Amino acid sequence: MSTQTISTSGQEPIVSMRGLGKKFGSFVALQGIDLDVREGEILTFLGPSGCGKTTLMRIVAGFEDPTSGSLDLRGADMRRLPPEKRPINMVFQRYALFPHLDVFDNVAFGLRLKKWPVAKINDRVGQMLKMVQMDAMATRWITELSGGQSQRVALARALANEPQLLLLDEPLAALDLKIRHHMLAELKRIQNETRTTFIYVTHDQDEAMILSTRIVLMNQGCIEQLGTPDELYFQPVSLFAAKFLGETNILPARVRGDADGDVVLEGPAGTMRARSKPTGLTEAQEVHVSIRPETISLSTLEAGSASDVNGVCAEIKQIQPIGSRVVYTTRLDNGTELRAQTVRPPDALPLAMGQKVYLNWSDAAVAVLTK
Amino acid sequence: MLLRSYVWLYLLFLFGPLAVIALFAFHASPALSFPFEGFSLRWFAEILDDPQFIAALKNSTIVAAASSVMTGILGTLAALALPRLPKRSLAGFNILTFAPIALPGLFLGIALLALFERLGIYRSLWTVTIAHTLFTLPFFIETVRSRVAYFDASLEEAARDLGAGPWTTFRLVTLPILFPTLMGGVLLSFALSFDEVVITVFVVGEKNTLPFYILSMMRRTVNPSINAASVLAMALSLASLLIGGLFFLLQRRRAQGRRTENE
Repeated sequence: MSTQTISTSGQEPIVSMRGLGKKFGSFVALQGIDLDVREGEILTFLGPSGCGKTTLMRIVAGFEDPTSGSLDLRGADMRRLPPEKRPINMVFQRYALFPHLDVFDNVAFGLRLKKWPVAKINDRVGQMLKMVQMDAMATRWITELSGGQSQRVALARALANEPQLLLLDEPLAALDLKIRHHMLAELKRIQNETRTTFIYVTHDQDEAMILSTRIVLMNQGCIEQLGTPDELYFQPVSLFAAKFLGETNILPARVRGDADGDVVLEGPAGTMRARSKPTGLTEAQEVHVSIRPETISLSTLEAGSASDVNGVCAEIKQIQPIGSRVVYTTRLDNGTELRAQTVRPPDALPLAMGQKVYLNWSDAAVAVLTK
Repeated sequence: MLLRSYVWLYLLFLFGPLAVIALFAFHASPALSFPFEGFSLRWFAEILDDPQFIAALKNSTIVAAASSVMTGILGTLAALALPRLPKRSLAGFNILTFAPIALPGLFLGIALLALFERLGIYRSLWTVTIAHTLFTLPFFIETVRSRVAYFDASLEEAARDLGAGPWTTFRLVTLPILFPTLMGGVLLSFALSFDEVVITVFVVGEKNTLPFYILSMMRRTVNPSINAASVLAMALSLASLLIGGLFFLLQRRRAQGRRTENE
């Protein structure tokens, strides 16, 4: 479980959860969730399927009741409030648009229930459809829409109610790749325009990285790590976090001590210094380190100013060009493999198979994983 | 090749007798055999002049309408409740629902007769309506349940999310979306009730239903107007089945549209 403290300084949280748990029979879906959702942010629940992210969202929406803990919206207890009484709206994974209504009536659904006057409803629906660029399709039937168009209507229908919080449940999962990237940009634009707080659920790390203000990385019903996309990418706190987001090299290491505020570690890649250090590290503690392939630079032995800290000699075992990048798999004398990644040059690759190279990285590139 | 001609034989076997009856209903002469001596509507005129026939037609229509509406209400509630049952009790429910279809009608008729006698209920169109509701209910549930089971529960959640309470959600979302399916089931029940005889024999009172009256006509005389009566009864049953079929088709096209759009 994460011991990370959540800073709420200067900002009143819109939703706050304390010790939130959910059991389905004997299966523990969520446990001990402490989380504050900040006003105006895009907070992403990220994790593999079964990690509890969808359950957590459904609890916020009111479709599931928590079995323990508290759930407050602006300080008011939300647990006994049915979904229709919560100032929260949701974009469903398969859109859940009403097939017996047209686009306009779908968007107007919530407003009519609120008994808005007709003229005001017409204005609002028109405004929403314009925002999602569907104003030309107000009279279309839902069955006549493409996936991307359905997505836009679902977004308009939810936002028309001026929710204090918008929940999006894997909204792009059913779309193909090209539309997905376009819709991500659209989501960001719409969030910017409406200033609505978003909770976004996804298993896709790219979506999370592109969209989020902060990411809640979840694993087996717990929060694994909470932070900005950069923090999660460069300072993962656990093996799970380091492996889940992007490619990385994981090496075992032993803490040796402190030097100039850096942590000094010893491992199969020699002596390493890490700038960021988790709290509570002790001398001789066994940990893991994560070094992203793109933070490792390669040079030929002659050119390299060989230092034995954050640097090793190795032999190139595999060269793999992948589109715009090249991944080199190298092997150290002791058999340890390290992958390094560079931008692909327009001409021939400067390094060849079997060549001895010098690898080095900065102390900022080394993340110490204590679990 | 052989199999294909078998299909024609099969259709002839199924519809041959019906075609003969339909043909002789329009026969100009009272003879019920070939050669055919020209068309006439005289038998239709005769049967429509028969006040007992008209009364029976009215009775059957009332019973079929009342029982199919009752079946529609009870069956819809059952079909909606089914997906919410735990898996194990669902299997039991399936067998129990299906039992009245598999049981001989004779059995059901005798059982109902005994029950009504015991309760001191006077036999009337009411008892027929109750019996027909019982008889058509399993057919209704069987035809409707698969569509209801495929109903996307997130549509109801979406309605709740947008501010509708449970009842409003049912009224504005669940019912309108399932309406064509349910209407199809109701019209099928109407057709089933309209020409039910076996159970009716046991529970009918002084007022005849249409198939019952046609049977009693046959006992009296062999008159070509029976053909005309049968054709009229058949036409009414077929019409309700056709309309019901249209509703089913409508629902399926809508579901398909939704599916292709989602893929």
